[in-house]
Amino acid sequence: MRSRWKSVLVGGLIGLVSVVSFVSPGWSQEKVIKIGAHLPLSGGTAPTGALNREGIDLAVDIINNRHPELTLPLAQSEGLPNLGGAKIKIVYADDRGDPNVAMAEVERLIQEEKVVAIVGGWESSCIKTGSQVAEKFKTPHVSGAGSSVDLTKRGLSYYFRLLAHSGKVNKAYFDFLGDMEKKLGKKYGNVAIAYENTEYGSVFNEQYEREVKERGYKSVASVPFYKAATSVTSEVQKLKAANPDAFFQIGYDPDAILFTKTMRTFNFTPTVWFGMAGYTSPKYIPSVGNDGNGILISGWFHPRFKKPVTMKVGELYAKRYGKEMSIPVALNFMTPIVIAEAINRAGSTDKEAIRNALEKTRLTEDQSIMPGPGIWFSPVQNPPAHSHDNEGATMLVIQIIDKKFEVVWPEKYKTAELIWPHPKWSEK
Amino acid sequence: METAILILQLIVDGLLVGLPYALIAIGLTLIWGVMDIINFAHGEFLVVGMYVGYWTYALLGVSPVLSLPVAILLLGALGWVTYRYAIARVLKSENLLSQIVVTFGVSVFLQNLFLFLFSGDYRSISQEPWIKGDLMIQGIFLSIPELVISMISLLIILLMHLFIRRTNTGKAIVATALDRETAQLMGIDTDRMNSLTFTIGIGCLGVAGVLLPITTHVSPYSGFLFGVLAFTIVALGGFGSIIGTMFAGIMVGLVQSFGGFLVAPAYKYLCVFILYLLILGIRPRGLFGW
Amino acid sequence: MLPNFRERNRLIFFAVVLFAVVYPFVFTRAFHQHIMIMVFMYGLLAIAWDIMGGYTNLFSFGQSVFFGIGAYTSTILFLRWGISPWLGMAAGGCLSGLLGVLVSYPTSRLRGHYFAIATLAFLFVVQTVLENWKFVGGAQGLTLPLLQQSSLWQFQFRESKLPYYYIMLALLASGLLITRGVINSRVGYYLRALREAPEVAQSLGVNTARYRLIAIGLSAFLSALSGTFYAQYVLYIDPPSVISLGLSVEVVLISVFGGSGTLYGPLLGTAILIPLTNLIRAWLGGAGKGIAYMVFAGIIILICVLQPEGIIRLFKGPRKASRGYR
Repeated sequence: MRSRWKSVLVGGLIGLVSVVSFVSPGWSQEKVIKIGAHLPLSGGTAPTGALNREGIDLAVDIINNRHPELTLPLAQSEGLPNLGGAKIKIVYADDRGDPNVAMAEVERLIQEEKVVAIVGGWESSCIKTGSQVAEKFKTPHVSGAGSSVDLTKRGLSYYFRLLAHSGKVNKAYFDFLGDMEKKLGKKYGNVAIAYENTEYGSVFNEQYEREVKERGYKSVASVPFYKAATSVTSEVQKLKAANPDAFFQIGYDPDAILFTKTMRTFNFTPTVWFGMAGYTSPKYIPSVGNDGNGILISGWFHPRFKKPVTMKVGELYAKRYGKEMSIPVALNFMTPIVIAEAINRAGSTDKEAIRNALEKTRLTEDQSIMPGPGIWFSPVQNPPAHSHDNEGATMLVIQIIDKKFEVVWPEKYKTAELIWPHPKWSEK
Repeated sequence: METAILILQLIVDGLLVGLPYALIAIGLTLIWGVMDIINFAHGEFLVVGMYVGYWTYALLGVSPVLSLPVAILLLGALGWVTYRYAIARVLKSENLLSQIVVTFGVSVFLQNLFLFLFSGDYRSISQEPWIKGDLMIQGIFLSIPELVISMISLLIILLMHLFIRRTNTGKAIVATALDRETAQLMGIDTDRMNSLTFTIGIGCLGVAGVLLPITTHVSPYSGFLFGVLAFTIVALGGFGSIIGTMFAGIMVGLVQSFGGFLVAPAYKYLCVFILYLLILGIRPRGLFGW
Repeated sequence: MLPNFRERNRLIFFAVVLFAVVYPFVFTRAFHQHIMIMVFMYGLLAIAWDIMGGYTNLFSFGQSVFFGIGAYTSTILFLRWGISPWLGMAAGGCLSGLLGVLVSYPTSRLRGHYFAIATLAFLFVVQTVLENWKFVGGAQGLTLPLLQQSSLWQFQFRESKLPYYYIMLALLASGLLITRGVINSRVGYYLRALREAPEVAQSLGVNTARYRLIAIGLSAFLSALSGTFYAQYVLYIDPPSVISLGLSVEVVLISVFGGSGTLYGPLLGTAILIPLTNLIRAWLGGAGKGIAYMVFAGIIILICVLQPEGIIRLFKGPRKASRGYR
């Protein structure tokens, strides 16, 4: 009897599974343009995925409603004027930070949800597979994140990237360093890097090595480390022994925090301390307090940098979500706006038309909240040249001053004065 | 002189990281020795302790040192429940596969429970009120929290050793581990011994877990690394031998420290695992096993 | 009672085969086809694992390594020298099998739990090596180029999932047939002898080492086939996605749930659990956050505690005096 009950259970389970899979809520509303978004809404990077989502939601709100005080495209109107006021609706999918899942989810968005374009993605590996699927189905994919240089080197026609890739990030650091050397008449020839050894860090490292070679610096230590390692004493000791002038630390939140603590323990203070990624996380400063002061970050964004439209959007965000706009929010913020603007300009939701319109996108400085002269894309080219890379993307150099992020470079965007050199531990 | 200091520094690093590892492994070695079952959820139980330490700090502002007893009790209870409702029955069924898989199931369950409750964020205790600061002694740097944790670990390890060797209950546990049937013949309630061992084993994790967020970070995924390191230590030190486990833990810490510096930090855990595979090739019973 | 069970099981078997063949024409949505393709892929992995874990008591968490080696081998051969992924698949299988055999030497003296942990360490080592090795793309992984035209020889299809579906089904069927052949042969006989009573078998002169090698080699070979398929299906591989403990664990849990040591147990486990987890994830979306896996794990714990022989037990008749099968 017991086993019969069990087989009923199993049969019922299988039956339920098949029945439910038939049921799919799919009602369409008039005058709605569906755009798909894939983000890591669960898994390790879920908090960042949630922030991305906030950025996208805010942008969609600006598109769909009147915001006359903003100079962004489509802010003045409700919805898309050239399409009868049609509104944008985002269909979210969870890619779990797993490229396999990203592939399946983007395909599902395109085939089942019938979205006309895809935005988003956070992890470069997910954007890689997501955009490949989008290319297969001739659907435009615009990502605001994804710093891996490879992404735009694949010669894809339907993929567009807004973000300045790690090549540009590195370039900004070294431009800044070179600027300081000129200003102070000093040479900071010895550099070192500690990078987390998954995709993000290793791509960054490649760009770092290229800059070092081209500009004639000397890399005295190159230390890959296990992402989210529980202890970094070996790493710090190796770095301290190499005694660099400028030190780059590339890793996620836990790495940034751990490195900071360990560097304090071992009293290791480079003249210049560049940090990336983890240092921009909202968790970093609360976790290390004053220990983070003086760190320089090549940032894609800062909520208070001196561009009027950025500051206004920053206020809007702060009012709605009760916190300051952070990088993950900002990065994907422009993606729906860029696509909606293209759709509006094309006057059609046909995917080919959208793609063509995107290629001709030309947003000016005031039409983007990101630093730089605006947004426009390079044409499709054969690898290794970049296709559809945002040529207007520019980096900021941000410094943590008194437990706050302040922009210190370029001059026209700065919010505070630079502190130089990096303060000693005893001074913090 | 420079090299001597460097070597001393690496040794100190190894000790500071190895002693907590050893404490984590103690519970595992007992469970394994007595019940012949690998607790694959060991790392995840540790993470429970870590979250306890973190959340009592984050929500109540209480130092982990104060929440230590709470953690020990909580984890002990958790261990007892897990044993009673999952492990005991599986042991009876004598199905090897189930014995291995059930703790794995617990591990996957716990890991995703953390993910669900606390999200994937990495958290650590940033401003511990009582234990903080750094020391520099004769050119050797160390952080006070790490020192404190290592001392506490050492203390608990020695206590456990005394418990096993000197008390009657401890001896009963050893007896059960050595020869279950004879122990039963001698009147020892082996099921109770199992339950006790599991409870104590997990309880130890409470100590290690609650203090760790001071020096490192906790996330739903932290369990994996600690877990695998613990398995390695137990296998190296021999199952059931507490002192053996302690030395193995220190050894692993040293390998990590030296390997990380001499070879490359990215390979520091790799060195540990390769060492493990090598030793197992030579002496499958571990170095000090029963 | 006996004839009824056999007849019934045979009927079920044919129904299932028919269902599998006709499925993509009934369920035309890409999402559903994707789930089934995953069922087949995991199914092959589960069968492969079971050869080691269920029949030979070699409990391994390293299945993902063999999977990954298969994926990497065919991908590198294709990217660097333009070799067809089919040949790459064969090469991957052989390389994987070879690796399995090599690894079995140092671990030959390890029993049960020790072996399992050694496989964990092995997984970790391979993962770290691949992450730091530029030749195989390091942490950035390898991307397979999107071909303009579907091509059977180059193993890529643009328009629909059907070719992928049937290829994986064929691979699964082959794996199943091979496994069945091995189990019913003398080799299988010896493996079971080693599992049930190793000392007796050895005293009768059964060469333990040789049969362990065969089991591991076969398991590795089949897993690698799944690996190549994955690479051609997703077109991007990197160490975390193909050499992952998560994948190994899923395979283990699925097999045990279905019933290890049986021919169809792992498949049954796959057929139930893979769609289940996918659907839970799809329903709950962002809120899914691990709930799917909690359910998964909970089910496994229940199985281990209540029905350690797995779900397949429900389909079997009353226990017979040992005929060799479990």
